[in-house]
Parts: sequence; structure tokens; C-alpha cells
Amino acid sequence: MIAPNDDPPIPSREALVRAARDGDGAALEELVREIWPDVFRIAWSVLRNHVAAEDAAQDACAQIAAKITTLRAPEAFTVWLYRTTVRAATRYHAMPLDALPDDLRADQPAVEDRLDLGAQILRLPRDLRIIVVLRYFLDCSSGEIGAILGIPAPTIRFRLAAARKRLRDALTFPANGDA
Amino acid sequence: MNSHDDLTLTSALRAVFDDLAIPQVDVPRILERSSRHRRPQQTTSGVRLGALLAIAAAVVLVMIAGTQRGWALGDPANQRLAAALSQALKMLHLPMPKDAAKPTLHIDNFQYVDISRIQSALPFRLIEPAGLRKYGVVVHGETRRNGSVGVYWLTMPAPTTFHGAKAVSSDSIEVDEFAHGHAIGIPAADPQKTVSLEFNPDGTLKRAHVVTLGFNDRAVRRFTIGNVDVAVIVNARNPGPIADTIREGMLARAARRP
Repeated sequence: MIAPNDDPPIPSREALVRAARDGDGAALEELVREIWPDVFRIAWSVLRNHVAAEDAAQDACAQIAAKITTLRAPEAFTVWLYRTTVRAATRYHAMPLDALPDDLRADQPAVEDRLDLGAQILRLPRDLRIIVVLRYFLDCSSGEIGAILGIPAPTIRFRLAAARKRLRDALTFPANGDA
Repeated sequence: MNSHDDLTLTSALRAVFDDLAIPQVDVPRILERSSRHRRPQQTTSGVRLGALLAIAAAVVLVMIAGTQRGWALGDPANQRLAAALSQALKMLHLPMPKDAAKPTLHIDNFQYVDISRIQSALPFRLIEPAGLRKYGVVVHGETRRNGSVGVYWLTMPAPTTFHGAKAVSSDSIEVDEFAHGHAIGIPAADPQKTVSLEFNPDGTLKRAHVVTLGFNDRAVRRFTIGNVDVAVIVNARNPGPIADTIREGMLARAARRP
């Protein structure tokens, strides 16, 4: 069953963005609370690790909070937010694994084990994984994903197709062709 | 997968993320961290600042060259050159082996410059071998302490729109024996041809012509014309994935940023 999307209506977020951009501290705090779940989910989908994802999400939110007064087009906030988050998480992910504390090295098998398809999505390479999450969880278009990742939209569509093929192959039983 | 599968993917992801325990947001901590990302208010963005620095560097180059050539900055030709430089000057740091007696690079894919627009203002003249459609002039190169080579070059956004055999792609010739007033270049696009450059004692180019020869080796050479250092970069023994080389150069550059 598809869980209902608990995101608040877009106008509400836009209003918060505009107020925060204009220097409203309370609105900024509310905006941070508002965006936090999505930011954390994106970071986690990149890092697949709670502690690292929380740190990356905090960093992304801090960047947003620091620079929101320079935002010229509030309607571009979501793309900017996702892009900042992906970049923050990617930087963290780029650290050598042995440079991370021990508790950051383990993935989250408990979640992966619950759903085969979900587990397979989480096992996709990072470049494909983040595209799948942006497309199918955050409902971003190919153009928006391209803007977030700095990749042309056709490339995004190509990678989405590649990701779907990988998932299809992964979920297909080799014997008897049963899926 | 079809649209039904798309829905399945969406459902699976929602299930995963619904099960994901989202930590409590620590707003004070985030706001405290945000102070680290704040910079003093400035009127120009980093990109604009970089562009201004590039223009300043271009003007310095023009001034250096102009001093050598007796140019006046008010000269229209210099203004055109300055405009071309400010529009197109770029810099690339390329990692070089420290112990290489003759550093070699594997670059053949610079962006290109319309030589005809600035040819008259350059302190040297280059001739294009027939059929060579790549245009790039490296106007300044320097070897750094860490062994990398910094290269400034000019670019043209649409090289295929340039017609006329008037320039050699400076990234595709090997210059040799410059100390003897003579240099040989090998067009990367056509290794069967050799560009021969002959210089006057004052460093200006006396003659350039193309001969057909076979060379298997190309490399990087630096030389000076007037006060302008020129780095000439060509394919070497291993042509390699050129884009990777450029990318690595860019990464090396980015890694050195504070």
C-alpha cells in the first residue's frame, strides 16, 4: 500500500522560503523542520548509513540556512535544496571507508531485508540510486533531476532505464524465468 | 519496466522510507553550523570574481606582450585581443611526473580559438596544416613546484565554423630545438604531417610550413616568444582517453583549492 505523502502543500513551503529569505528567523527554523525529512532521506539514500546521513543532512540544511538570503527565485528552492543535499552527501560518501568511524561503515540491512525491491534499489550504484530516489520518491522530472545533478536530461532518462533494467534483472529468477 | 513497474518502484521506495527512522532535527545545531557557511557579504559571486581575475590576467598578458611589441593599450587590435582573452582565457593545471626529464601529456581536446580574430595581435603567427580543424592557442604555460603544468589557452566555442587554413592548433604540435631558432611540430590530428616553425633571433616566427613525415612520439614543450611563454602540448606515446586526462587535470586543480 502506498503511504500517503505527508509533505505539506507547496504554497506553504514557498511562503516559508520567502519569509526565510527575507530574514525571518522563525520561518527559517520552521523551514528547516519542514525540509529535514526529505533532506535526511536523500542523504540516507546516498550514504545508506544513519549517522553519516544525519551529519550530511545537517550540513545541507546548514548550507541552505546560510545562503537562503541570496536565493533569487523561491520557486527554484526545491531543486537547490536537493542539489545541495546530494552534494553534501556525496562529499561525505567520497571519504575513504577506513577513514570513517566503525559505526559508520555498516549499512542498514534491517531495512534492506524487508522488501526485495527496496533492497535492490538500495544496492544500485550510487549514481543510479540517487536518480531512482529523486524520480520515484520525490517525483522529480528528468529535467529537474538533471538540474539537481548537473547532468543532461537525456542522460538522466538513460540512467533511469539502466536502473530499471538492473532492477528487473535482479528481481528475475534465473530458473524457469519466474519473476 | 512499464508504468505499472514505475508505480511498484514508487511503492517500494515509499515503503523503505516509511520504515526509515528519521532522527529528530536539531535546529540549533544546524543554525550553528550554518554560521560556518556564511561568508562576508560581497557584491560579486565567486564565478564573477573568477571571471574578473581571468580578465585581469588577460590584461596583464596583453600588457606584457604589448611592452615587448611596443603596443599601446589603446590600440584597437589590443582591445580586440583583450576582449578575446577576457572571454576565453582559461587555465588548466595538469599533473606531471616530478622526475620526468621531458614532461609529456596526452592532451588533444582543448577547446578552440578562432585564431583569425586575434592573429594580428599575437606576437607570433601560426600556420594551419591543411585539413586540421582544431584551433587552440596556449598563450602561457608554467611548471609548478609540485610538478604540474599550468596552461592558459584561448578557446573558440564553435571550431567548425572557422574556415581558412591560417593557424596551427598549438595543442597539437610539438616544438623542439627552439634554442636553435627552429621548432618542429606534429599535428595531433594528422601524425603524418610535421609543422616546422622557424624563428627570428628576436623570437618572432619567421616561417612555418608543413611537411609530411611520420612521427610516433609527441610531447610537451615550453618556449618563449618575446615575453610570452608558450606551452605546446601534443599527444604523446599513449594517446589514452583524452577526456580522462583533462578531467584528471581538472580534479587535480580542484584538489589544490583551499
